[in-house]
Amino acid sequence: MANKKGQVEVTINWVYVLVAGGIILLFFIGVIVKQKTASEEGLAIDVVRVMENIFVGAGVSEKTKNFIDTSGISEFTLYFDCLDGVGEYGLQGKSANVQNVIDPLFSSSTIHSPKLITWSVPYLLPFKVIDFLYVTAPNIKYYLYGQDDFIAELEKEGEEFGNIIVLDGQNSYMGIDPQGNDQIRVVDISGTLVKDGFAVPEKLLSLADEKVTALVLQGESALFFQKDAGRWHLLNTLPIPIVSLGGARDAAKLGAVFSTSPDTYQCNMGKAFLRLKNVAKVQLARAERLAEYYDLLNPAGFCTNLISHADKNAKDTLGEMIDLLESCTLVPEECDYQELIPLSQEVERINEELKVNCIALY
Amino acid sequence: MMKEVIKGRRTVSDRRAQVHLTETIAILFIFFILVGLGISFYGKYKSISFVEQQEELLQARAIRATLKAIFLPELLCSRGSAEPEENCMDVVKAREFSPQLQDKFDDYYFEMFSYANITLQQIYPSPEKIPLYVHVPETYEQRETTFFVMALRDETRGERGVPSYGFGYLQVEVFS
Repeated sequence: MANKKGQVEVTINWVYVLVAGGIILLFFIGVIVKQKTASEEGLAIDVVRVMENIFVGAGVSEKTKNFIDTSGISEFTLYFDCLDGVGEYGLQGKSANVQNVIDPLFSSSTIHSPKLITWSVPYLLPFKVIDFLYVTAPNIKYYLYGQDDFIAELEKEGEEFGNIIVLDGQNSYMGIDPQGNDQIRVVDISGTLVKDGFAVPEKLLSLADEKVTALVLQGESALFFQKDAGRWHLLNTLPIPIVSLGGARDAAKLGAVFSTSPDTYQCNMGKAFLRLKNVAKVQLARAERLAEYYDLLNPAGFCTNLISHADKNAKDTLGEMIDLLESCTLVPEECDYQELIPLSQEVERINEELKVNCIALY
Repeated sequence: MMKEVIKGRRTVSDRRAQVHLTETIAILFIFFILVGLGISFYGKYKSISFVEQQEELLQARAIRATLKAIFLPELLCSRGSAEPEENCMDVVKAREFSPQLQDKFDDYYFEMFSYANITLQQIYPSPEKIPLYVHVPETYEQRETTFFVMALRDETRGERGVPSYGFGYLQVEVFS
């Protein structure tokens, strides 16, 4: 009787130990799983925070090129987006992200690379408005076709990047090989290689559609293309104007090169125009102080005239610029930002004249 | 006689069971004390690391705000289309910054600087305090202040348009 009791007791003890052990094991497995998810989210938060710091640093220091080692997060895909004036970037599939309404960041929609390249170029209209930040990677190859100063400059600037190649003709274009690169972007300033419905080079068919994009720059407008079923598909129905004064380091044009989506490009340009309004207001206030200064020195002088009284003077032109930007904020659909170009050229001309014997506007 | 033996056995087994029960209760008690201690230590560690993290974030924000303020296109000492002068602010523009853009301090510049107090303090040639951006919260737990020495250009002070340079510092306070 006692033996039987003991046997039952021992069996119950073992069952108890197994059940309790199982529960404890499950508890720790649960904790580990929870911790893993939390640490991944934590990593994503850390990564976007570091990215934000890097981009702020890279964005404010003018004309700098930075190479950032991202091998630690090379398994993740970075995404960049901009919608309704709000830019967003982060790790794809993770909730952590950074939203930014201030800084224009031109990039491919996604980047999957162990290294990032950032390049900052000031946007001048004609005074400095903001720094444009371009983000790319060594495994995103840019094939340039055509001959002009912009292409020559981009080729020279891109030597350090190692991802910019100039095509010497139709044959080299048709022979473009992805060679293990993540994305291919063709920049055609001749408008002969890439047209809506034209065939995409054969070797590029192996890449996903969104990984093969093209830009056609014609005059002061841009057309964005993407591969679709083996052919080029035009993404923007109307040409997108490039609002810039041209010349070396054309920031707006470079933005179109590094952006793969026309919507993202326009969204980032919108950020620049928003900032332009603020900078122009300060510039106008400065012109007014300069006018007061010259009014005391020589009210009928050359400087006063150029700033305040001439037919096309600095104060009026800056005022027109601000009015245009104000109306663009109110009625964006009726806005033509290209009207900023003649006004900027006017401000530039006045500034050049002022520089000779007066205090410059900017 | 038989009944007494059974009673005696029961008493012994009851005592054993009581000892067992007391042991179990003691073990559980110690176990829960250890778990409680562990949770409290972990909680303490977490709260300390949270505060440290908050401080780190605030410091990072202070650096970012300073960096952005130093390079503000609205204030920098431009040289036409050439690169602007480094670590230099245009005093004429600085004086106009807040009056002209005050209406943007709740949205556009708040996105840039959040809760902060940015002041340009001129030391030479004459002391002058130019508030650039003031958005101080009513209550805050932490404050981080950074200073950055700047050259200050004032073209209206120089003779015949030759710019006059002074110096001062940019004070950036951020709050959380």
